[in-house]
Amino acid sequence: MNVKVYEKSPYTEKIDAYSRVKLFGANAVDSAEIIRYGNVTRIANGGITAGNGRFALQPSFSGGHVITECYTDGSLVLYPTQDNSPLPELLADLNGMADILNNSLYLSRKLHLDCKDPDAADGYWKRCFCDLAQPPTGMPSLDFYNRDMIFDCREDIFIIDGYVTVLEAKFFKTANMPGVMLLYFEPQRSRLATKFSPTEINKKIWITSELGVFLENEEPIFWFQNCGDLEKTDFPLLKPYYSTFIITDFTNDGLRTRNSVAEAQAFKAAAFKHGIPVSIAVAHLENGKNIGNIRGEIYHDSSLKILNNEEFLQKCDEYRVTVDPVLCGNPYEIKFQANKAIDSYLLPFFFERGRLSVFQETANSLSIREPLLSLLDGTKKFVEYPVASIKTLIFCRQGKIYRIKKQLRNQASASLRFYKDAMLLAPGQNAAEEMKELLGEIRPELVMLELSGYSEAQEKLLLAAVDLCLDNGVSVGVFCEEGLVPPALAEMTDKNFIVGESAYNIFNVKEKADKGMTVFHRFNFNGKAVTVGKSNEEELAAAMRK
Amino acid sequence: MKEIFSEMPSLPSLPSEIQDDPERLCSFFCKALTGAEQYPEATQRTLTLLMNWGNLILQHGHEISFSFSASELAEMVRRCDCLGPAQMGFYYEGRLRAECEFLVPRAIKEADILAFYRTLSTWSQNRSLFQCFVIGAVLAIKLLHLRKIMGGK
Repeated sequence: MNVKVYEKSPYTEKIDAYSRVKLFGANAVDSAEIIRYGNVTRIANGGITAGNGRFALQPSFSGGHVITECYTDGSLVLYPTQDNSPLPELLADLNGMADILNNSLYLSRKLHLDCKDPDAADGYWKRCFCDLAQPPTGMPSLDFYNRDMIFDCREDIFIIDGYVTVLEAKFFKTANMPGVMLLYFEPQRSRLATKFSPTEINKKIWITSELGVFLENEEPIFWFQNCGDLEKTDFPLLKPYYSTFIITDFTNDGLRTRNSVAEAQAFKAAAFKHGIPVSIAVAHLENGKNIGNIRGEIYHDSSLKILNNEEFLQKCDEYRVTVDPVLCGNPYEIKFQANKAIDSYLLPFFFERGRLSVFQETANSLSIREPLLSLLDGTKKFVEYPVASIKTLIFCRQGKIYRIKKQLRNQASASLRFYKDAMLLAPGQNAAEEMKELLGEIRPELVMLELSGYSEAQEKLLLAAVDLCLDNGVSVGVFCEEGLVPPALAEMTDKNFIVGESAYNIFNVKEKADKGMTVFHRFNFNGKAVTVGKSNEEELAAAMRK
Repeated sequence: MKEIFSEMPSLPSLPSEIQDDPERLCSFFCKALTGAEQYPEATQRTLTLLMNWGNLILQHGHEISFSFSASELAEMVRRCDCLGPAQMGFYYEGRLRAECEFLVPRAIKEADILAFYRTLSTWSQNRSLFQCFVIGAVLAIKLLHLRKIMGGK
């Protein structure tokens, strides 16, 4: 699939403002409201003048307004313009601005013209719904139909200064003059456009919000014009087909990808509420090239990958897109899903992805935590393994915060985040909810906490937090005194380590793996690289007796 | 004071071809009705009516009182114009009214020659923008009428 991604046009808003000044300004010419538009003065015959009074804008006898000059002999000369209401030009001139569009934008914002509905314009010009009868302007155009296939509106595509600019055409008319005035406005409603629909039902169609994808590909494809308020989109148009919304995944632009994912999520949710199932596909965009004289990039033969619901939700989670609850199913349902992270190491020997590791240590020995932190933040590494920098969330026990700071020599590391355990245990706190928020905020790969010396109620709260982490695929490391592992935790444990310190920064570790297997290791954390050697039961026992 | 009146006051220029001669008047009317080739019958009728009225003014203009407003101009045009309705159909009335109101924003009294000259000048400067061509011919007749009245005095 060829994907053309156009840059957002800055002219859409300006042309919209120009049209609004022209329409609402012309309607105000015959009232006191016109003085809000500029330093103009009302004159007889429904006109306005400015400056020395030599020129005026008056209703023309062919409809619209016309610039008129009053000669010194009192006779009048008309200056017909191509445009039948040169009010924005006059107002820009009065403000000393050469850029008529910018002056119109200024006026539109100041006078809140963007909040007015052109379809409801009242006064000299009124909306005339003669769109179907109007001949094409010669520009490429898009016809939109609403849910019952009744014509809705036409939009023309302009190339202005290289920007692809899409504007909605609206026609206006004076009550007693022939002819209509065509003005262009920024589209205000989310709509679906199609070049051609499949004649057969149950056919597969694509949906994209990138106009370039829509124009470039000769496939059954709908263009989704996103103007917000998606639930008002005419989704029934999609009912006869199997629809797939395309996410544009820009390799080098996470923000744009995120926007695309968020848009897909909103579209899918809104369609779901209309009873239209929409699947999601991702187009991976790499090696974009400039498109000649148009501002944008083209990606040739981009690969498309269909995502299942779980993958899509993961994608939303990856880009921190809040998912509409309708897409998540019943929040109380426990889902069993194949965890892809299983058996992949987070940190060799100690942590696996999405698994629980429990470290049992003797009460008076130095914890293995400090050397482990140096491995996790990448300041040390195992001899035969690459440096790891693992985003870790560490809960510190109240009263041991200074100890942690001292151990880390106050060296802050970007990958390690420390929180007080009070965050989970303070009275009135919901440990699971707090943990959920932290996981969403920090996105850790590993959570480490201590589980000794707490009351039974506090232990329950901490275990609920641990359960939530594991359920979300986050690895957990729990440190507790030897033999004091709560039974509930013991049932969840994937790796169980008994740790003894034989010398400074040298730890003998017994790992109780599944099926009663035990492995002994000696880890030497002295030096930049951590060496791993063999150990045995006796050495561990000696270390623990120290 | 001298600076204020540095420019010599002058009346607007007038179409020089308007003469007190029926043949020249007819030629002026024909020129005024340009673009009427598609409707020869209507043009012919219009010319006849204009000539009749022109002759009446030439002969008895000094006896007829002069009054001139937008609605009177429109009424005069309507009396002679067969071409406009043929060309514009139902749009004719609105267009005629708008053009007349532009040319004569205020009623002109008999003695106000300056206001009438302004109207003539405005017509002649914007001639190409008017669609009711007969207005030009009616203005020429009214100019003759004014001259007759002024001459009579």
